Amino acid sequence: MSRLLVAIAFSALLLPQAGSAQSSLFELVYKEAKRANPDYLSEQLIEFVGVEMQTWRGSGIWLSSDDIKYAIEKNQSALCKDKTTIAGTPIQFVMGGNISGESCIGLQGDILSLIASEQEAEQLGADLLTIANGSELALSNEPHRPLEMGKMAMLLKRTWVGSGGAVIPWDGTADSEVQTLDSALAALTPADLDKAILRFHHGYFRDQREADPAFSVVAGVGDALRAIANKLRITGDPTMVGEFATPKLKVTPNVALWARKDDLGILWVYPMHFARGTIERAGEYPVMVENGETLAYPFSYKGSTPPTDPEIRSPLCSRSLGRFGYLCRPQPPFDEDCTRPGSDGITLVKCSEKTTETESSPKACADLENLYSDTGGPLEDPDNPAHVSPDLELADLEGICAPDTKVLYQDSVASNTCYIDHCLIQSMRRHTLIPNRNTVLLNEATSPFLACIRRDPQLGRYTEIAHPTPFAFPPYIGHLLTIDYEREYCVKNGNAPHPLAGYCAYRSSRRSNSPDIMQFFTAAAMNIEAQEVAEDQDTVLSAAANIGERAALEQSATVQRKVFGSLASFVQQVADLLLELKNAPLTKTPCPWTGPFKTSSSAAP
Amino acid sequence: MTAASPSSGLLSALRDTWRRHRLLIVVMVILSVVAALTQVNLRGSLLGGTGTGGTSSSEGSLRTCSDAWTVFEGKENATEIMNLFRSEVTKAVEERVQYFEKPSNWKCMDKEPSMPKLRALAAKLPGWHYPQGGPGAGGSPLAFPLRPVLFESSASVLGEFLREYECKIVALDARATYAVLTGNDIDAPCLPGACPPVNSADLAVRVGAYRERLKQERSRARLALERTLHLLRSFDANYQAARDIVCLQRASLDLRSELNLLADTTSCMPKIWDALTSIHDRK
Repeated sequence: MSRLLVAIAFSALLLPQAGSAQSSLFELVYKEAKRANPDYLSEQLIEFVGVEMQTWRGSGIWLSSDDIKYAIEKNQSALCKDKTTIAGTPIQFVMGGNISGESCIGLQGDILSLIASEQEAEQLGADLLTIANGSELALSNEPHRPLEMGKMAMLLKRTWVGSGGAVIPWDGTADSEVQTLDSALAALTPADLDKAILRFHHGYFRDQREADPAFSVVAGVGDALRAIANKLRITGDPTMVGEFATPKLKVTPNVALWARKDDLGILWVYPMHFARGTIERAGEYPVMVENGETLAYPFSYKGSTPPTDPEIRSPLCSRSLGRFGYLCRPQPPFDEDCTRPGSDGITLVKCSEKTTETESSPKACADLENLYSDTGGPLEDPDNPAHVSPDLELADLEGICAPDTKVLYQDSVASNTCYIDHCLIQSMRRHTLIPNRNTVLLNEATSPFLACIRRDPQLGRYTEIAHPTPFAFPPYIGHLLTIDYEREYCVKNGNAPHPLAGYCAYRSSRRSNSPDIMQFFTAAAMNIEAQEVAEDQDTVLSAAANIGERAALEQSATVQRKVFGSLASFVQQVADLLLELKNAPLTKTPCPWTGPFKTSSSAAP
Repeated sequence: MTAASPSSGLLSALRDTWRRHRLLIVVMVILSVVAALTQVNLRGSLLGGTGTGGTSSSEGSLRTCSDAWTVFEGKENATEIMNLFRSEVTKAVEERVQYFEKPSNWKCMDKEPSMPKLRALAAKLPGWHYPQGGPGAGGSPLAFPLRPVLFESSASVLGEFLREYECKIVALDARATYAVLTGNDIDAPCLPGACPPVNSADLAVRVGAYRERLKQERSRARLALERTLHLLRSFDANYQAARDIVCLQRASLDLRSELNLLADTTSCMPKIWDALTSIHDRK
C-alpha cells in the first residue's frame, strides 16, 4: 500500500511574507481619516458642488474647482470675483463698495454647507463600513488579512476529511506579471484605485461576463490581471476550484491580489471607505432597478437577471470556503412531509417528525469511495487541484487489505480511519477467530502448528514497528485475550482448559463412538446436546464480543488517548466490528487440511 | 412706601431665596463643607481627571490631564509630538497585527501571548501605574507598580495613550501664541530671544491656522485610533476560536500521522490474524 501525502494544506502557511512594503495599519487609517477634515475635497465632491451650484438661487452660478477651494479657505475676495450666472450674466456681490447684490458670505456659506453635508454622509458610510469590518473581516474568506478564519477552517477540514478546498502554492511563474499589476495599481490616483478595485473586486472574468457599463475603464489593471490569468491558466471556468497562495503586493499599500482557479481579482486588505462614483442629488437615490439583486452581494451590478448557467455563482458563493455555506447550497428537493418552501429568499419549512439515524456499523464509512487502486499516478488531477484525477479507478473493496494490493487515498484522518476499518472488516469477515489458529498463541498452544518443531517463519514480521514513531505503542495483549477466549470456550464445552484448546470444539463423533452409551440415548443426547452447544456457543460468542470490545478499547483507546480524545468514535467502530463476531460462523471441526488428529507429529505440515 | 436701601434689598432677596430654595441651599452648603474638608476636586472626580497639573488623591489613580511624566513632557513642537504619537501607536498596533498574521507562531500551551511593545507603551503611561507604597525616585508615578498589561488590554492602553495625547494637544492649544513666537507652528523651532520677529498680522493668521491644525489633529487622531480598534475587533473577537482551530489542526496532524502508522499496521491484519496464510502459506 502506498499513500499520497498531500502537502497542499501546508502551503498556506508558507505564503510569501518577506519583502512587503505595506504601510502599517494605523498609518493607513490615520491617512484615511484625513478625509474627515473639513478642508478635504475629493474630485467627485468638487464636481458635485460645481454641478449643484448651477441651480444656485434659480439662475445658478459658474464655479471652478479653485472657487470651491476659496470657499474652504474663506477667501471671499477671490471667491466672489467675476462670477456669472449659467446664462452668462455677471453677478453683483455686496462687497468692496457695492451696497446691493448677492451676499458673498451667503454664497460661501451655501458652498460650505453643501460640502459639510456631503462629508457627513461620506463619514457615516465610512463608520458603517468600519463597524461591518469589525464584525466580518476575519470571516470574510478573502486572502491577505490577518487571522483568516476561513483558511484555518479549510485546512482543518482538509486534515480530517481530505476535501473542502485547496490552496495552491505560489511557484513564482507569474511573479513578473504580478509586479506589472502592482506598478499599474501604484500609478493610479486614489479615485482611480477605488474604481479599479470596485470593478475587479469580485473577479476579472466576472467583470468581463457582466460588462457593467457603470464601471469605468481603468488603464492597465485589466490587462495586468489577464496576463496573470494566462500565466496561471485561469480561464474563468466557474467549475474550477482551488485558491492560489498569492504573494503580497510590494508597492501598492492596502491592496491585495486574489486568484482562484475560476477567477482572479484585487481587493482592499482593509476597506476604509466606500468607492464613490459620481455624486448625485439625494433625490436620485436609491435607484430601484427592476430584477436587481441584493445590495450586499450583488450578483451583477447592472441589475440584470442572474445568468442561466447554474455554475456561475454569486461572488460570496464563489469563495473557497464561502461556497460551502448554508446559503450557497442548492435547495434540496421538495419533501412531501414538509411544508412547501417559498419561491425565493430564505424560508423556514416545517417537516413532520422523522428521525433519521446514521448507520452505525463500519459500513457508514463514506470514504470507501475514496480508496483507489495505486497505479503510480497522482491522486489529484494536476489540471484541476482539489479534484481527484479522472484516471484513477476505485480499489477492489474485497481485496483492499490483501497483501499484494496497493491502495491510494488522501492522507486525511477520515480516509486513514476508513482504511483501517475496512481492513478490520475484511480480516474478520474471512477469518473466524478460532483457537489455536492465531500465530500469537504459539507461546502456549502447540497444536496443530507445533511451533516447537517448526518455527513460524513469519513470526514477528508483521507485528514489528517499521519506523520510529513519536509515541510508544502499548503492549500487545491480543494473545492473552485469545487465551481467555479459549479457556472460556473449553469450559462451556464441558472440557477442562487445555493447551490443545482446538479440541474443545464439540464433535458429535466423539460421543457417538462411545461404547457405553446406547444408540437411542445417544441420538437423543446428541439432539439435546446440539441445542446446548448452540446456546453455549451463543454465550461464548457474547463473551467473545465482550472480550473483543475490551480488546478494542484497551488496545485502541490507549493509543488514541495519547493523541486525541475524540477518537472514541473510531474506537466505537472497532468495538462494533468485534461485536459482529456474533454473526460469524464458528467452526465446529478441526482444520480440514489437518484431518483427524492422531499424534502431534502427524499434524506437522 | 419708603425706598429700600441696597443692603436691605440684598437681605430681603437672600431671605426670599432661602424661603424658596431652602433644601437646595442646605445641600450645597453640605457639599461645600465636604469638599473643603476632604479636598476632593469635585469636577476632577466627576470627569475622571483633576485638572491641569493636579493629581487625584481620592481615587487611587495617577491619571492627570497634564504632560508630566508622559512621553510628551517638555516637547513643544507639534509635528514632533504628532509623529511621536503615531509612532508609539503604530508599534503597539503592528505588534498585534503581526501576531494575528502568523498563526504558526501561536503557542498552544501558553495561556496568553506576551505583547512586549504594548507593555512598553503601558509602562510609559502614568495612568497605567497605581499608587501603592511610597513613590519612587523623584516622585515619578512611573516608579509605582504597573497595572497588568494583558493581551486584551490593548484597546485600553491605546485609549489611555490617546487621552494623554489629547491633553497635550489642549495644552499646546493654550500656548498657541507662544508656539508661533518660537516657530513651533511652522516646524522652525527656536529658543525664546533668538527667534525671528513675528509681526502682528502674521501672529493673527498663524495662531489661527495653528489652532485649527491642532483641532483637526485632535479629531483625526481619535477617529483613526477608534477605527483602527474597530478594524482589529473582528480579529480580536475571533482570536480565541482561531487559536483553538490552529491548535486542533496541529493535534489533528499528529492524529493523522498516528492513524497513518496504524493504517500501515492494519494492512497486515489478515496475516496476523490468519494462521492459514502466515504459517502454512497455502495457495
